Amino acid sequence: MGTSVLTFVIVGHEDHPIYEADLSPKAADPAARDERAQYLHQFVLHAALDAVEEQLWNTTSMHLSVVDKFNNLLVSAFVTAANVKFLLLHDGRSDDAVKLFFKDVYEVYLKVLMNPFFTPTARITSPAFNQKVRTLARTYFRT
Amino acid sequence: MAANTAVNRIIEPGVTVFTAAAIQVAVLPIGPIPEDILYQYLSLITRFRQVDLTNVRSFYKEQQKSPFKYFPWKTGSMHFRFLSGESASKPRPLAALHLHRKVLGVIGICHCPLVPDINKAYSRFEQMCRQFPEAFTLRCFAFEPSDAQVDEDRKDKAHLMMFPPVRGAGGMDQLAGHAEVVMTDTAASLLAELERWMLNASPAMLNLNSFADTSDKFIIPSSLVEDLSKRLYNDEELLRKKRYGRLQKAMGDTSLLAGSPADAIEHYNTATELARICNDFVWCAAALEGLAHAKVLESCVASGALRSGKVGGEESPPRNPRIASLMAEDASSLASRTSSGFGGAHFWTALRQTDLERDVRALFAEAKSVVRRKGALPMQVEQDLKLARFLAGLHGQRSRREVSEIVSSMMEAVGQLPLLEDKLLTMMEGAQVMGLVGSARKRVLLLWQAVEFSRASERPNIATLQIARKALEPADDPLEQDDEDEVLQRRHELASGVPRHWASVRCGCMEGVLNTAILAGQHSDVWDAAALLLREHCWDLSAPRQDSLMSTLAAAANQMGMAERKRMGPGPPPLFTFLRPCPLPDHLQPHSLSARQPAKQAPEGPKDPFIYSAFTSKGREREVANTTAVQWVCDETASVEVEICNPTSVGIKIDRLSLEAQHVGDPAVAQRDHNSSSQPSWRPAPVQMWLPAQTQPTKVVLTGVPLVKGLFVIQGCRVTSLGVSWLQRWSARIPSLGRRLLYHPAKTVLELEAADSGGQAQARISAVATLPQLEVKVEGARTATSLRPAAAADSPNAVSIPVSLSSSSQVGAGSADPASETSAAPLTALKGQVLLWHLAVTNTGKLTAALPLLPGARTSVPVLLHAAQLASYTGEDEHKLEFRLEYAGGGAAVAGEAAAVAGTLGRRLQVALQLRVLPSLQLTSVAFLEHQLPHTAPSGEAGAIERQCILEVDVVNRTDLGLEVWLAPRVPPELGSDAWAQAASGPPPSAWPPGTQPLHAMAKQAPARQRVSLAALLSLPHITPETIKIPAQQHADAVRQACAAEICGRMAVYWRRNDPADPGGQAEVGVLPLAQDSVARALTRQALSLLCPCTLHTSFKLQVVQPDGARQVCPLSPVQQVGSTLLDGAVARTALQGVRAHPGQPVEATVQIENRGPHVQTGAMSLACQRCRPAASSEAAAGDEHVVVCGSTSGVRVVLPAGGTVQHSLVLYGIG
Repeated sequence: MGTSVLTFVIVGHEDHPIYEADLSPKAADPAARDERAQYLHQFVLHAALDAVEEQLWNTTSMHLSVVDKFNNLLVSAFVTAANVKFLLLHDGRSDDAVKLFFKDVYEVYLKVLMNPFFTPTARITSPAFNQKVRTLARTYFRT
Repeated sequence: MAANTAVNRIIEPGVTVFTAAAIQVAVLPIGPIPEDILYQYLSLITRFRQVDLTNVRSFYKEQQKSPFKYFPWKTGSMHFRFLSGESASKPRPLAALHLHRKVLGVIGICHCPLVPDINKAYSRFEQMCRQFPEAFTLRCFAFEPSDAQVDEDRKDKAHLMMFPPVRGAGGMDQLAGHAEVVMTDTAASLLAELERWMLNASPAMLNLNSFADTSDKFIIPSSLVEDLSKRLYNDEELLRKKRYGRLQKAMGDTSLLAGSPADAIEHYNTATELARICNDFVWCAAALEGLAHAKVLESCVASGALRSGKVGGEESPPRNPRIASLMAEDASSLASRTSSGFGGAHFWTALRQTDLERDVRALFAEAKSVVRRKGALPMQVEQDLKLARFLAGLHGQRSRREVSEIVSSMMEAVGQLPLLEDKLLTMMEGAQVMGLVGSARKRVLLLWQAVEFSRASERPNIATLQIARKALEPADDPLEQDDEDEVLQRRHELASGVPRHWASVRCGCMEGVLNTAILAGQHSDVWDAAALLLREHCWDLSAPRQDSLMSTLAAAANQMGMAERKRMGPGPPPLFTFLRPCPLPDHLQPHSLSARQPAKQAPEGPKDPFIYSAFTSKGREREVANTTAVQWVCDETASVEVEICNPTSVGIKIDRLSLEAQHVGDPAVAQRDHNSSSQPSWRPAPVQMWLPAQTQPTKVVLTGVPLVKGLFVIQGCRVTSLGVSWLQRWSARIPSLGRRLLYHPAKTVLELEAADSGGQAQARISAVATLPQLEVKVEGARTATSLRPAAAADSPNAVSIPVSLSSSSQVGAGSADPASETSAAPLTALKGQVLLWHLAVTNTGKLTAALPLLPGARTSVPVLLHAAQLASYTGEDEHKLEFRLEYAGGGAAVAGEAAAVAGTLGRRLQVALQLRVLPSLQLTSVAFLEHQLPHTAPSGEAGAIERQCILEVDVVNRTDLGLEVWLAPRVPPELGSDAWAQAASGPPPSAWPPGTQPLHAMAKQAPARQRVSLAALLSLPHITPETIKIPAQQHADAVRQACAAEICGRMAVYWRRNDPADPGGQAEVGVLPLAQDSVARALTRQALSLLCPCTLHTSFKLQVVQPDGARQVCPLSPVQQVGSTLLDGAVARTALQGVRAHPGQPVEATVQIENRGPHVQTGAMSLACQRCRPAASSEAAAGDEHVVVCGSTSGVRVVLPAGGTVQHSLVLYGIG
């Protein structure tokens, strides 16, 4: 059962990952973490940016659906108006759930963005944001 | 099949639509050759990847009739692909299918100085050639042969070719020219062989059971039904057609290799038809592929898109040898990449303009559909790769989507490929193709996957390491996608071409290299990867990981061989940032000295109205720093300010840290002069250092000594730690904590890297030839015991000044050290004091013939300093003094006209001193007194009185010590002047006659803070209008001022003081000028008449004319004269006493005026006669009522030349 892969990344300008979260249920268990798999996920997410850049101009929607796949891993993307990319690495989640997840995360992200002390190139370190994203993941993906 | 078992790879790396046109040539080193020299020879050969057929024609002997109908002699070219021995000897299973995969030429390279016996080397070459039985042309190039080897008999060595020695007259140019001839000849030979093959080719030569026909690793095994039908219907006719079709395909390949794509198209068309008839699917697909190749190449030839194969340009080589070598290196690497002709923007633009793409797409699609029937997955992958590369070249990043799809299909096929190496190659080639279309991130993923796959399939770790290293390299250029010749591939230093934004991805690539290198036992790679990780990603690594990386580094350092321990590339932290080259101290800086241009004055203060302006002062400093280019001097210590930091959480012990500078030559020196010198150009001064963990950027000054003149590039710092030494180049500034919190570190580093090129540009500093060096000390007039030691012992510009007056006086520091200059208390002197100093000049340099002063010799220059004073001002003064000494000599001196234009390079010594001048004496009043002395006339007449002027001056001693004060004629302080020496020695002997001297007319002791009156007899020469140069229109005030100035110029107050601490020493002497205002105020009319006596002497003569005509002289009283010729007039007066004249008796009066002065006197004379009534004169009382005349005359014009006399007579008649 491959339901264990669920990695969410927000990529800022010039491909800087400004927020990373492993939302899979095994993430809390350090013993279950496979370093090679973690690297693979990072590489796949990084490589998906090429596909995102390509598909960005084919649609007017922010949600780009599944943009790239690698073996059994799928990458769904959401691009904000400021060209900040939300990437979700998963192994076959429902596109509707992913879309709703992105939409809600976008709202939370906007609240972070409105913080006058936040700059678009800075990493998001807010614990409240982290908690909210995890709650949303639990809501939509039942993790 | 036995041959099939050895096959581990079917797919060829780097296939493109152009590879079919390149003849494969193996390049084999014969015997020992040093790596650098081999690289040089290889670069000579591999630059001929494309040889134009026009050049080949002159070597082509036309021994047989050409089989080519459309041979493009004028526009075509032959192409070569040079392979190393290892890759050339690998089995090529599809060589029967694709003729261009055969190795058709072998070139041996022999470095004669290391080969004692050329015969053995040649036999070795022949033996190696046996690996390539299909090779048409063999050549053995012998470089640097000795005379004996040249003279040796070469009859049995048909393929041996001697190259001229590099150190001959022509050098490398001649070698390159020779290589061109030899390579063109080789091309002509290969062309002749290909023609011969074409002429002799027959269907019988072809094997119908080749690897492509039989191997299950290539094609799908045919089913039993198929085998049966094949046996049933395989008649002779079909076989004959099949053979003929394959022959046509081979002839097409050969035509393409020979450079005639038009012929190839014909053959391929025939081959396609025949193969289709015979259901020879693989060959049909290959022919279709070949047709696509031939069409593309024909378009290249027809459109002239191919780059010219000419090597080298017409431009003259630079004079600087290092620059020339760098340019040559660049050119050779460029040539190695681009001399294939298939590349460049012009090439692809020309191809884009043809209507070729559609044909090629159609042909590849057809070929793929045909070959799919037989499986032949490796062939499909190759077709995909060729098409993807062709599209990437044509459209670049715009073809990204299509290429991505092609690569995706290739990746899907990976699992079905039977051979492990093929799978890996597909992944790597797919990654490279993705890199071509700008998907660098996808490329990294695929390469990382290849690394993981390679590791999982237990391939040799070395091979995995190569893939891992590739993952770190940047993507290829789509316009230059033709592979670099692998024979030229050098081991590059490990540098990450992966974009650094996503740190974890980049770290993953580096960790991949590190882990594979550890497994492969490649210690130098372990070192490089761990160093790269620590250097560029220490912010992303945890402290334990950094610690373990440091341990890995130490372990790798222990395992590395001695040769490997000197790393060429950068190493682990510390990181260095170039700040600025420290300019030499002012006194050591080379200046352009010109005799015509005096040294410029020191820059004045700011010109804006504000005294303190924070912005302007800083800006000005920066401006000055920017505009002044730093110059170093040979054989003298040069220093550079560097920022050093250790961002890791591990302390680093540096055993040796030194500055690394590269001498890039002197543009003024000819190239051959450079070649002749092989002496070291830079001597660093190493230091040892311990850098604790998390060391913030710290400024450090590193030094070295340039040994030759010319331009130096400060490359970085050479660090030796853990037994390994590496060159750490300048890095960008490490972002501060604040910036790191605000931004991601990677971004900051990137931003700074962009600005870093400026730092590199600044790191170029020129050094001038050795200059002489002088040391100057300013010494006081006292004995050496009273001299203070030099303030800064290490500074040759130290200054020694006596502790002169008070305990507060200190040594004034030289201008070399502005800090100490400002902090040191200034020297003190009294106003009017005359100081005698000596400038002690010592030659501390080593140049013997540079200066008239020998090294170590010393000379002394006396300097007399007068602390002048405005007499009216009594406060303290601060003065700045500057001694400036310019000198030049040695190798930097430029003779002739150049010196006149550019000036001579020399040095300028400046000793700046600050002098505080304390008040000494204050002049309070000036007075002129009349002093009458009994005058003894030469005639012995008694009773005359001489009137003289006395100058009386009141001064106040403002010091706390007693002074000896006197008035004396003013003598300007002058070095070596006897008059001054006499004046300074004490008060002059009194000019007063004994007994008449006023009490104050001598030197007097003026106690501290007391008033003293001084007097002196003004025994001055007469003041005349000429001597004081007053204007023609005389005016009383102007005269007074002029007189005052004259007196001030002639008299002065002197003071002297003996140092109580040093009674035997020379006394301090000072001169106080008189204040002109005070003197002018004191100059009353009386004083002026005393000072400027009249030069006109008037005498009267009165004669009574007796009736008999006799004249009786009447006695007159002595003539009294009052007045000055400088004033309005002079009056001479006399009186007649005791002479009686009768009424009507004429009295003749004569007035005689004599000009005793040296100048002409002009004026009007008035004569008056009046009655006077002296009160106490008995004679006058007696004749009171008998006074005869009274009246006056005026308007008598008198002109008196110098020494002249005028007489005026008149006759008076008494009235009874």
